[in-house]
Amino acid sequence: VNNPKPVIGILGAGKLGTVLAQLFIKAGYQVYIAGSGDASKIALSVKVITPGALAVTVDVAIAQAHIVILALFDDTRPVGANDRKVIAIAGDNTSDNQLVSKLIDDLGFDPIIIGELSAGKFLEPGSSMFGASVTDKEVHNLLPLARSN
Amino acid sequence: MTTQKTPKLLFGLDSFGDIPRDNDGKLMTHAAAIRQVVVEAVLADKLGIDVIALGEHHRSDFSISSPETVLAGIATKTKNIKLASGVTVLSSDDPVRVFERFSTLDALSNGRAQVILGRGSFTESFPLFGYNLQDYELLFEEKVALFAEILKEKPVTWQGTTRAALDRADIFPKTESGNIHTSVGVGGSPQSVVRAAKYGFPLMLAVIGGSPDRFVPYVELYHRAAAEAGTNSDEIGIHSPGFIADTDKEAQDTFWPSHKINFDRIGHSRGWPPLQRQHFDEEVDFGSLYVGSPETVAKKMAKTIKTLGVNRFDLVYGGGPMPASARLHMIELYGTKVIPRIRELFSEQS
Repeated sequence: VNNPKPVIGILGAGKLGTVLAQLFIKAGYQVYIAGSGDASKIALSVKVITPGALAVTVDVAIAQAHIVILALFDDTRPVGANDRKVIAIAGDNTSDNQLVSKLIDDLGFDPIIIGELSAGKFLEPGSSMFGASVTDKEVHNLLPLARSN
Repeated sequence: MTTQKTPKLLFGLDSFGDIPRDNDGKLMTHAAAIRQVVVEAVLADKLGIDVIALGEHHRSDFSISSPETVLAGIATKTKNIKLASGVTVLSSDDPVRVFERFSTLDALSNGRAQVILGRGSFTESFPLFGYNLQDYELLFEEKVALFAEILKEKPVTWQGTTRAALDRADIFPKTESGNIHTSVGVGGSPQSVVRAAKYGFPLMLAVIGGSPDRFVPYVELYHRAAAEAGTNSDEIGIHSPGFIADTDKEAQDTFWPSHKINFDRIGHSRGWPPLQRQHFDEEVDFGSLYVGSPETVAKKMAKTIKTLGVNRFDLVYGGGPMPASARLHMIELYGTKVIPRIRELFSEQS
């Protein structure tokens, strides 16, 4: 198989997990989604709300896939669109950062690496960056502001 | 192909008892804000609006923490309007007491009480009433099951982990109809949709942002889950915020500052950044804010009703510190212009 995309496991079949699964499927990823307990509990929801995803147990999702937990909104744009929103990344490992950047780009957002893992605090509640629905340019304005606070 | 009889479209008004401004621009007290909601409900009843739904909050920016008490006040001053909670946070309440309060409301209103059960999107009620937020899912699951039993109005025997067991407990007052209309409010969790279908409770979708189209699969899920469970799925409603004035510009200019204060205050406690005008405009144009002249709001509501295939629309009014007079005018326009116009749009199509 050439250029296989990583298999995505989503833990949580609620509001957030559902949106994530929809985005990953749209972007051509194989998705495993797990709620709490038996997979049959979420089988119908997954079939109707996130067709293409596979309803599994948490064990299976962890065993079969990478695990990604991100807070997202479903406001995607193609590469190059000037109103494309950003998802910021804070991480210590260059190759992990690249992997996550690729995921975010595939979903329809601009990935921006804002620093090492310790910079993740600028993305937490209370920071002007938290939950901000912004573009590339705006992130570069917000970031110094978040750092100075 | 068989033609199904479409249930009549129902229109509601929803409030959390936001604190309005009086004629001098001063914020009302919590007590005056509650009395204002009663005045508004009386007007809504005169105008033939189908439902008023009051939701509970436990924080300073909202006056209503006990919706059914306010509804009881409304009950004795109105004739036809249905009196609903929107929502009753069942997870942090006691199903037995909830039934007692709503069957009392049902008595006072000659059978007009409705309950909308929900898990709540605010968390204040959990520590306040001694519940652990970590039990969020379990509390709702167990209590819905118990409430469904109590609704049968027969002695209840029940055992669980979230409250004391019941042994052939008979709960009073009984209603005259033998049935309190009970729905489940859902914000986007598929499992909540499946749960509503399983008990045969009508579904109320809370769509407070983004495009309403995203909820089409939830409606489909509700129908399919109800078919699997062998229950009825005829009644589906939507709850979204809005504001109506004589012109689009007036509506936006009046609503924006008030909505921003409301949004930013909630955002402050959740870590959101302040609301930007551009985001507001997007919600008005394409999202889930129904703001504008009667014609604009009617067309937008009709489109959503059609897209989702729902038969009840509850418009949340008066978000933030809005002038009380603007709220009253909105209700008048809703009852006299918007609702008739939507009905007209649908009869033109059929």
